[in-house]
Amino acid sequence: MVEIKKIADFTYEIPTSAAPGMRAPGIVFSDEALLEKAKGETVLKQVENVATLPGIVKASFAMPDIHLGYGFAVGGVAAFDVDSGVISPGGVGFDINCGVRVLKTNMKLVDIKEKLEELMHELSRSIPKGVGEKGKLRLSEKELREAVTKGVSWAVKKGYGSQEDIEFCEEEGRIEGANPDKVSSRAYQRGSSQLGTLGAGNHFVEVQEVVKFFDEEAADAFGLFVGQALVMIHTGSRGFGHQVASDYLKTMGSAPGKYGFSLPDRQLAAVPIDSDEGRDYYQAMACAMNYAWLNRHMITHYTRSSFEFIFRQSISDLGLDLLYDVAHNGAKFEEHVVDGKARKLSVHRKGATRSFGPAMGQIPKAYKDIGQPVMIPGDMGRASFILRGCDKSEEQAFSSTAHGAGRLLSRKGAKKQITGAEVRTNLNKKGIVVVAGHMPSLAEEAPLAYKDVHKVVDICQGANLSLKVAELRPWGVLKG
Amino acid sequence: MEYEILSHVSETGIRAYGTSLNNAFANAARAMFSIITKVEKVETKQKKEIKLISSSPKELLVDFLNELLFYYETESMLFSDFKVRIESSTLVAEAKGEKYRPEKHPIKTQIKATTYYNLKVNSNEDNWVQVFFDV
Repeated sequence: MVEIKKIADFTYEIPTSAAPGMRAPGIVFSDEALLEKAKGETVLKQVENVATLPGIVKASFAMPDIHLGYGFAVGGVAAFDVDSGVISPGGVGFDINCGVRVLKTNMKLVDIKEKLEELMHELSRSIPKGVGEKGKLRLSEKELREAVTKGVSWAVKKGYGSQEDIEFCEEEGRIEGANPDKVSSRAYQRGSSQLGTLGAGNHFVEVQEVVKFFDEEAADAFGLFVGQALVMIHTGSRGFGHQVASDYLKTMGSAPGKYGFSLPDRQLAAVPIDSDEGRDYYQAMACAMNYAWLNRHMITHYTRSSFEFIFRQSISDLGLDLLYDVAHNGAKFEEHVVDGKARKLSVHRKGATRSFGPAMGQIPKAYKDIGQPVMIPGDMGRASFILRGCDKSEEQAFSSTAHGAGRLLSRKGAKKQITGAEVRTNLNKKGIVVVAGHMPSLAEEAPLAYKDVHKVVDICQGANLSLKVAELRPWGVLKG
Repeated sequence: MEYEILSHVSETGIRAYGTSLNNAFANAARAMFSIITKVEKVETKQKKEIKLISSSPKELLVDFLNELLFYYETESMLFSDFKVRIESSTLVAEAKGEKYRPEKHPIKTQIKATTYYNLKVNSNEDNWVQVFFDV
């Protein structure tokens, strides 16, 4: 049993004495019930493993939606000193910059309900799933190299979307340091036909309704109104990112020994930030992060076209402006105050959202007094939430918060309890339109496979990781 | 039993058995394609030859499965029949299968990558391997 004690509201500590080699404590943001569940899994062991990595600053953090992952737990956050610390592909994951964005329509959900079914089928037709089909764009390796270097601005220059799509994206849709020479030809081969594809698994496009505000001032600044129809898009860097992760996990296998430390888990594959392997991985990962932002941007373009087609109105009337786009999986250089001193750190977030408050800056002007929007998808039957970043989050966990509801059941476990057809029937009874490429995957993503997102966001708020702004209800679900 | 499917809260894995380590690797590859599609529907119309060099049998297993996933994703190849020969750090394999056809091969699960999580290669008394996938 993992040794763990409560140190503050919704905050638990795993002391460094809990496992050999821990260089910092583990801090888990949770409540009694969710923590009890986590104790029965090996997920807390993964929090301890991260705490053994060289150069870790303050603690190995676990967000409220934490669950078992590969290397880092999903919901794991850790920051490393740029001079003495490591960078870990296992702290980013295979789906580099898997993330989420929300588009705001000018319409009320109630006014589009009649056409919702038609809309969901049109979205399904216009957004390639990438499961046995290719994307609409075919890029040569040369074009793709340029695209992943420039990020979202590359697509805007080609005529897709607008300048605002750049402004309202984390890092303005392009992370510094991307070097296309550090990406393998295999990644380019996988990525060339997948830009603008949704993918399967937990990726989705949902049409949602704003049902409730918790913070009217913030909701107003975000341009939200009760009853508003929104579109939420969740996907990542597709085969391009998976290949970058696999390539570097492989080459880093033997590296830790060379640098005088050992790893409790091969999957962590950490190397010093200040090493050839560390620099190469960062530069390739940055390309994959840019690929993911471009991917969500292209899906945004297809979504806007679908709305125009179904409602016979132009985008200027329909809205569909980008609220914000956040990365869930990445390792980014950020400056944070530690013990009263500003330090440059490599902040790894794996299944966690950046949560910058007003003091952190680097957020769109329109939100500068509020903090960045944080979008937390729940499950397709219950709710999703919009929160905002807050300044206290920096002290708590390097400005990080949850990224979703977090899985409760394995995919196989979910399929034992419910079939895809039953999931669809249950959702239809609630008035939710579901279009899925594949029925068994619908069962894998059933609401019962997830924790209750209401609990997760309450812990985020209670622990000052991020603050609740609005609750959303799903009405239309598109799955790959 | 040639193989079994293992479950993990967020991911999926396999344990494959064999009369030899070569055979266990071949069954692992078949098990992986059984997660992706109805592997029994995949006919052996085309052949792919694979040669890999790696530092250990464990690393070879991950590389071998990732190699097959690469052909699946870039050439739409599904495989169902494998011959594998491992000699120290080298793996030579022949994978037979056919191109993906939506009407014939329903996709059950998309696998993103092979992981090193709980990776096991056992060739002492009996031959079995275990590997997990990010899906």
